[in-house]
Amino acid sequence: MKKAVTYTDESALVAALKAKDRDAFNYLYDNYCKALFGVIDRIVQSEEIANDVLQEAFVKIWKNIDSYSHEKGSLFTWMLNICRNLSIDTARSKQYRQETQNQNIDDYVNVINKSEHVQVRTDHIGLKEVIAKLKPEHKLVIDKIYFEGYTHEEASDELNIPLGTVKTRIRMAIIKLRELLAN
Amino acid sequence: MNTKEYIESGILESYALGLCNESESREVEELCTKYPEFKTELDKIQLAINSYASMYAKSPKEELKEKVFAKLDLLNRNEHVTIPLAMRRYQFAIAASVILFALSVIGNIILYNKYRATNEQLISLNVEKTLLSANMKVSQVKLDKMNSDMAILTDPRIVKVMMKGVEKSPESMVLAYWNKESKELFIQIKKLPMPVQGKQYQLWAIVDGKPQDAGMITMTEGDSTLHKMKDFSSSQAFAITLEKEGGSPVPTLSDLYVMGQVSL
Repeated sequence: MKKAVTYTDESALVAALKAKDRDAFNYLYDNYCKALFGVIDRIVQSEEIANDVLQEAFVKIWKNIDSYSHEKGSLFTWMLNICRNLSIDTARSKQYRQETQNQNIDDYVNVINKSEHVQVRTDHIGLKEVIAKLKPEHKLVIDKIYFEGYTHEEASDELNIPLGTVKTRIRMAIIKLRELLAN
Repeated sequence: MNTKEYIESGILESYALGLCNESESREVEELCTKYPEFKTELDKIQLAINSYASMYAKSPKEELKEKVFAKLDLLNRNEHVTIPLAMRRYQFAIAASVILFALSVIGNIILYNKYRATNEQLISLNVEKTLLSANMKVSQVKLDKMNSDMAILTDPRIVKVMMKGVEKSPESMVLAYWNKESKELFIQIKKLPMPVQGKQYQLWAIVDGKPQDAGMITMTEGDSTLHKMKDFSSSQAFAITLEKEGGSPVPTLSDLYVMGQVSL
């Protein structure tokens, strides 16, 4: 049996990925697919579509890995942004809207329930706990921006709060997250 | 630069969430390279966001991994061996359109050149045609004139009078054709010097010993046609003098050029 490859630091992994090394992509998939899939699923609100988007995201990661540079942030951040952008585009596309409209109400309720049912990773502080400690209005702003691709202005319009308040809430939410993570 | 204020402005959070425009992003990136404290702060923010996102972690369906790698292997093979089929088709389409375009350009150039040559030919043919038709009109006019001259000359009632040059111009000669019955009088210049500017030949009919104006002669170079002059029912002789343009009531005898008697 083939020995599972591990990478001690990210630059070694990135170098292997840039060389289009299959083991490196295997490692990448095993270690990141859940986190990426979770974000995608949260955005597109459909597991079936999320599977397609994740596949598309990996193809994009494969194709664009050469353009990744450590200076602009971690590999994980880069991949998250690829997934977010693809998912938000998908969620906003006409076809997607038609497909979700065609789902009957039962299915739709299902989707919502599923998206609320989250696998909690044992090595992380639980989502429920974080949600409990984040102010709902702070979480709402972060979610609108991170999972729905809103701009400051769009969030301000949608939530009917001043632009300055949007920015403050974002900052407060992230400070709170940092606090929670430090514990 | 006030580090604290800059961090508190929330720009780093905006950057981490992808909410910065191009110039803001550049500014953040530059500052992060310059000041490590910004970079550290940004990394922490990013980590918090990533961790939050990771809380939604969820397993995709088991079969997806196989599908993803099948796709990646396919991409890998194609990247190394050949260009993907879709891409090849695309390239073929591009190549085909380039060739078609080139052919169409060449075709257009050939057709345009032909068109130009034909057009030039057409223009020169048109010019020729115009010239020919003009010449024909001229010929027709000449022919008509000759025909009418001929009719006059062949009339049996016509009397021909030869006006010969006098000492002023011995070489000159003008013929007069006179139909006594119809009174019509014509002349035909055989030889006469071209008058100078401002001068004109005038024909005189000598009736009962007195010269009478018989008309002005508008002379052109090499003219051999008949000129219709004034009608006369009787005359003993005809003469031509050179007068000022428009004529003179009496002949200037010193400028007498030709003269001829009507034979009985």
